[in-house]
This record gives sequence, structure tokens and C-alpha cells, in this order.
Amino acid sequence: MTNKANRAPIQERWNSRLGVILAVAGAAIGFGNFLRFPGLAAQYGGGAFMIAYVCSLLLLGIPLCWVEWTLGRRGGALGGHSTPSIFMLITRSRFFKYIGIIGVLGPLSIGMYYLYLEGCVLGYAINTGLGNINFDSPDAFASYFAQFTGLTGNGDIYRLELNSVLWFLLTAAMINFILLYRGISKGIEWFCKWSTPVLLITAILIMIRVLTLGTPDASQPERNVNQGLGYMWNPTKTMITLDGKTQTMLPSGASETQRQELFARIQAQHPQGKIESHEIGLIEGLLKPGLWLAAAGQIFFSLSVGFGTICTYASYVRRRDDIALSSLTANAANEVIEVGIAGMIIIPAAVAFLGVAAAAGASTFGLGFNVLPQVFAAMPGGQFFGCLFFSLLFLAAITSSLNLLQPALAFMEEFWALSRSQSVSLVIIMLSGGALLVAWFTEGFIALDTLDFWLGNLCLYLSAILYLFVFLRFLGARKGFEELSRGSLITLPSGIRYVFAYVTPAILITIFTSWLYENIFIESCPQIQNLLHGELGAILPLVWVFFVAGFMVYASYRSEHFQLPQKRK
Amino acid sequence: MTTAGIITMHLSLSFVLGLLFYCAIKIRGEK
Repeated sequence: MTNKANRAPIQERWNSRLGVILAVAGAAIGFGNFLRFPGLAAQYGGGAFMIAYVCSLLLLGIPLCWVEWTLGRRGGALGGHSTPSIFMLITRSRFFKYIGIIGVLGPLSIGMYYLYLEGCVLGYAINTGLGNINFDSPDAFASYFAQFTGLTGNGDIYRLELNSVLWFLLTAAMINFILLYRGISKGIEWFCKWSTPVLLITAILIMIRVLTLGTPDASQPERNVNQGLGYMWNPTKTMITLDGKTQTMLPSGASETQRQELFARIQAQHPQGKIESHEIGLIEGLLKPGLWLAAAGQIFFSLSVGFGTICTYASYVRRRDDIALSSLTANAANEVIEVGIAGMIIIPAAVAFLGVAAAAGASTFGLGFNVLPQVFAAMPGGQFFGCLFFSLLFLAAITSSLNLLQPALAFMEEFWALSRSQSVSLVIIMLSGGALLVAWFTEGFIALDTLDFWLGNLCLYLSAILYLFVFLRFLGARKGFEELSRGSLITLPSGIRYVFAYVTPAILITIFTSWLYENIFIESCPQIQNLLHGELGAILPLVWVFFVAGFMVYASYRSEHFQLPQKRK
Repeated sequence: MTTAGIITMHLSLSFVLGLLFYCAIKIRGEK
């Protein structure tokens, strides 16, 4: 097939199979692995949650990744390297190049607030290392966090001080831009090849430190690592409800003191609420739909499905090279980090130093920036290990953000035939506009929350559904399976095509519908209310994203460099 | 930590490590 796209300056290929596997694994390994997974597994009861988690991995996560890899390699063979071009070439419809923009816009918009989060973890790494985050009371830790991140007011981070995220945000942005400019093989592949092993070794070091903590405070024997591991993995839990709604869980065997401690904590937050508790076992846990939805949602976000990154990366794989095993290996590496290492660090450490009450029900952000600094402050050698842990998070975040920006770069290079420096400059402008808004509107994290809700969640679900739709409608489950199997180093059971055709779409639609039901179709969705009340912090980031989307639509409409091949008469 | 918790933890670890080793062996086997 001849295509004008062949004139586009994209001639890059991966140097090795390991490079692409580490890049995809690096894209997937991020905050979700280290902070979100342990919190969810503990909240829903280790055993029951893991059963739902493994089922979701096999029936949702791995098939969706294969779908994206297959579309990517197929599109790459036809001359496309970004979702718009890949969709257009596979569907042979110009309409789909506009639809495919969602696969470029989504990750770029997530990148806008990911830079801010990277700044936060880098700042926490350095300040923990310098001993600046060491206070007497939990309130002091919360106050430092609010001051550092600008939670106290809009524009508060614009200070020439080490306890402001601004300078770390700029440093993180510079590192991203330099690596992006170096390209696929010299930038991303090079970085992921050394950073992923470093990340793994660092994580193992911290895990060993945590698992050898024992009982740090002899006066409080209930606070120990064993209790923490129990909280994480015990299948039987005590469910704590507030006015009939599940609040959190306690591990089975928790003492009366721990129970009272947690009750007091919840009662302090909800003085009028009625708190009750009762035991739930493995079977009862599995019968809760919320547990399955939480597990499927965690798999969906953990594997970076729908980001468009996998599709773009797979397009640089040669047509006869394996993708099935590469995808599976990247997924397996992500799971080892998530289940095997992250599951052994956060919750056990938090329970050992602060007790079950402090770890129970903490949000991803709360666990990372409020609970953990308290743990490191109390831990022997905590200054070193805290610095190491936040550096680890920073490394994981950098590999993720690099990968978030790559689809937009490929899009610019293709549709406008721009050079690397030109496309990197353009992406920096688009990214910086959003990132600066996130950095300014920090009060209540309104800008970050807005982008995360509309782009990081809604757009991601739509994007994943779109990938699956294009795969099933234009390749078909049977042909798609054959395409996936081409060059495969493992023999795939043919039954997988039925999973592609029926099971994965059903699960994906179910978790998306449930997300809509829980977040959008409720009486007062805060993200919609913010827009209706004219909150600038919510409106401006979305206006910027619409502006970027408009530019992308215009770019693909006017592009003379990337068109569908003419039909032969 | 209860016996059921220990079993859950070890089964989960075995599964993810087994998956990774399977992939590693398959990739090496190609050479």
C-alpha cells in the first residue's frame, strides 16, 4: 500500500524486545500500583478481592492490552503511529481519524496534572531526605502537605521556597521534555531500561525494611507488621458501617482496642452517624458487586489500558515480531510490582507504626502524603527510606508521564510532518498551558480533580471502549485473534476470541455503567456542580483541553501529509 | 495474620511470580 504518510519523518523502531516491554511496563507502573492497590485490597478484604482481581486481569486487563497491541502493530504496518491515523487506516474511514483524537487528547490531558503529582513526590523525596518532614502531630503533617501543595489557596505554590511544589514541578517538566526530545530509542527506551530495574531494586529494599520492622513500639504490641499483613491479606474482615453504608474494614482478629480506636475516629468525623460492625467472610465478600467493580476498575487503571500509549508503541514493532508475549510480560511485570511488592509495603508499614485506624479508609493521596510521611518519621532510618520511597514513586511517575506524551508527539509528527524538535515544542506548549492551570488552581485541587474526572476517568473509559469497538467491528474477533497470533512466541488458546467478542466488552460496559451511575448520575456530582457554579478552577482547564482538542481536529482536517490511500478504480 | 490470610498472600504471590517467570522462560526460549 502506498501512502503519503511514508513521507512523514517517523522511521523509529525499538532497539530490542526488552526495550518495548520495559517501556510498556514503565507506562503502567505508577501511583496506582504503590498507593491505590494496597488501599483497595485492604478495604475489600485480601482474599475475596484477589479472586475478583485475578478474574478481572484474565478477562479484562490482558485481553484489552492485546486488543491495543494488535491494533497498534496492524496500524504501524499500514503506516500509522498515533490513534487517529491507526483508526483511519484500519477502518478506511476519515471520520475515525477525528474519533481517534480521543486516544491522543486523553493521555496528554492526564499528563497536565501528572507533572504536578511528579513535582509533589520529587519534593517529598528531597524534603524527607533533608529531614524537613518530621513533626510531632498528624495535624502538622497535614498542614505541611496543604502548604507544600498549595491546598490552602490558589497561587500559593508560587513561592521561592523549598517547601513549595513549584520548583520540583519545573524540574520534573524539564526531565520529561529532555527525554522526549531524545526520541523513542534514545530517550524513552534508554530511560526505561535503567529506571525499571532501579525501581525494582529500590522497591525490594524498602519491602525488606518494612517486613523486618517487627513490633516497632513495645508499649503497643498490637501495632506490628504481622497485623499489617493480616489487614492486607486476611479474607475475613469486620465491616464497619456508618448509617448502613460501608465505611471501612478491620482485619479479623483485631482487638477491642483497635475496634474502639477506629470507631472513635469515624465518630469524630460524623458525630451524628450510627456506627455498626459485623464479620464478613470470603463468600459474603465475593457476593458484593462493589468488590468486583473495584477490582475490575483497579485492573483497568493499573494496566494503562485506553491511554493510547500501548497502541502507539506497538506501531513501532515490526509486523512479524511477537506482541502476545510482550504484552503478557509487561502485564506480568506490572502485577509483580503491584501485588508482590507494593502489597507488602504501605499497609504493613502504616499499621506497624500508626495502627489499623490510621491506615483504614485512607484515600490514595491521603495514604501517600499524610500517612506515609508519619510512618517514615517514626521509622529508624526513616529519613533515608522515606527519601528512597518517594524517589521510587518519582521514577515510576516519570516513566508513566513520558509515555503519556508520546501519542501526541507521534500525532504531530504524522499529521503535520513536523521534526522532533518542532513536535516536542508544540506538545510542551499544549501541556504547559494545562499544567500551569493545575499548578495555579490548587485550592481543594479543583483543577487537578476536574481533569482527572473528565479526562483521567470518563475519557479513558470511552477510549478503551473505542479500541474494543474498532477491533471487533473492523478486524473481528477471529481475524483479530489471527493478527494477534502472528509471530507470537506463545500458543494462544482459540477460546480467547470468545473472550474478546463477549466477555471483555460485557465487563468493560458494566464497570463503565457503574462508574457513570456512581459518579455522574447522582444528585450532586461535585465536578458538574463546580462547572455549573462557574468555578474558574474547573472551567479554565476544560476550556484549555477543548482548545487543544480543536487544534488537533483542525490539524488532522488540514493535514496534507496523512491521507487515506486512493481507491483503485 | 490468619491461616487463610497467609494462604491468600502466598497464592497471590505465586500467581504473579509464576506468570512473570513463564513469560521470561518463553522469551529466553526463543534465542
